[in-house]
Amino acid sequence: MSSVTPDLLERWVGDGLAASAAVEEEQGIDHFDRLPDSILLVIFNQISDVKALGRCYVVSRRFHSLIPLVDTVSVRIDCVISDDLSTLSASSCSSAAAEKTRSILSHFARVVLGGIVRPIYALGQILSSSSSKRLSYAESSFSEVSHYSPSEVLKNFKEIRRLRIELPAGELGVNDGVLLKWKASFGSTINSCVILGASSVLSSSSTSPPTQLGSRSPSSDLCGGEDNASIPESFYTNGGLKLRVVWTISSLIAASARHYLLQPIVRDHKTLEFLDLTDADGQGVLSMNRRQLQELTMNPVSASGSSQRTLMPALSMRLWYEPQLEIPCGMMLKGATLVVIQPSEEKSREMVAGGSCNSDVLSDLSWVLNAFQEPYCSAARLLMEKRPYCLEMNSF
Amino acid sequence: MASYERRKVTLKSSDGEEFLVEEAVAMESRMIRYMIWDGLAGDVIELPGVKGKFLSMIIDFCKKRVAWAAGGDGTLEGLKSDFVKVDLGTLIHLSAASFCLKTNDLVDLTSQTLANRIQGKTIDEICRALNPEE
Repeated sequence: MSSVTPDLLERWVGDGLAASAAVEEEQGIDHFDRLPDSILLVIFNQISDVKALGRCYVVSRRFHSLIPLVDTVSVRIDCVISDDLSTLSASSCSSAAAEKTRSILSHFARVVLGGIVRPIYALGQILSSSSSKRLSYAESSFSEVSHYSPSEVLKNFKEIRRLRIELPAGELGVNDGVLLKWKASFGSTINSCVILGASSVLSSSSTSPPTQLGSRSPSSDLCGGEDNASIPESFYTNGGLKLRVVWTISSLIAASARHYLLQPIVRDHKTLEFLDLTDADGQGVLSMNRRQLQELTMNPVSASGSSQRTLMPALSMRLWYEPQLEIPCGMMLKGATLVVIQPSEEKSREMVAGGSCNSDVLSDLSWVLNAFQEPYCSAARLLMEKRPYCLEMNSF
Repeated sequence: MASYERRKVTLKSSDGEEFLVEEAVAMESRMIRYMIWDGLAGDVIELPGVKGKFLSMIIDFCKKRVAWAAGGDGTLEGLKSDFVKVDLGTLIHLSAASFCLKTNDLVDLTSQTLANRIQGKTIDEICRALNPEE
């Protein structure tokens, strides 16, 4: 953080509330001194943006003492810088972004599908949160852009309970028109992940009515004993399944990379209760609650090989597919897919406890439906009425 | 529907201004409400922490809100946004006064508005807002 300059210090006017109105007028006391600490904290918690809080931090001594107590903070990251670049380079954010591509999965994509999915942008070791406004005030003698990692930016906050970090974009480069959203929940390792995808999204007025619609009788068997509940054979042979597997693996890798990056932040902020790592595209959300954060603190993460991401355990996946799915807001998803992923160990514990296939799906329902907002929530619910295709995946 | 005399109470600000208001309006302030319920309030309630200028704005808002709740025109959102269409200094005074009077939703409203105003400002601008006389 920049140091407080002498003229700024002169402006501070002491702690606590002013003695009386008359005294205030005479001395021209700081307006904000009328407000008690509790209200200032309410205001700072509502601001929550870390850059704005950083500005307030240097405004007055009173603000300086209160800002570290803020418990709700959100960090919006401007750009991602990979290991290879010097952090003191004078390059602007956009050129840094262009150079950041260091695909950890491009090799995999080439092997499996010959480039249908664009390479995934890897998250470098240093996530940058550069602020040119802050720069122009505090460090006007420097011409270069300063970069700070989220850990550095957050180090002055001692009492954060809710933290939200937003990446500038989703890591997964998907072709135009493809829908891909994921939501993952981690403790020391993955607890669950839900992925919703579609090869294209159209408005339903532009397409002819599909033969298999999302309208089913309310009494339909959730175990999917009926014929129209099965996935068409062509799905397995025309590359549809392979593509979904790539989506799944890409999403899991993105999630585990994010999780790995969060370790130092979780370690430094023991008061955390909720942590969300999202992106500006609305593509992926990684969330952790209090129990999971404590688990991560007690059992630090093991990396997967030499990559900068958390090891994935053996996983059980259930995949639902519908060639054409109409959802309530007037959209039509083609090749709609829902994948629900849990560690195999967790799944077999549920099977033993729950007994039949019926209760298994029912117990999944609530947390899967909470993963996405409308209209995707409805899409997930409609997809789950069918019979799933089950897959097992080894640890990676 | 028999007409009856609604109880009124006088609120006195720190600078001696007096406002005669209906009890229902005064009770929008939790502090005043508890004083009345506990029988600690006389006909005149003194509010040393709140100046007349700001007390009158808050009373005005409370009157409008009570009227709206009884089936008046307009929206609550409209009332709220009109209340905060003031300069920063006044907003801070209103926030402090709401805190004093324990009109919690006004505290929330003014805090949120202050947060929005601070959010986009540079350090210089925030400092200027703190000390406009300098």
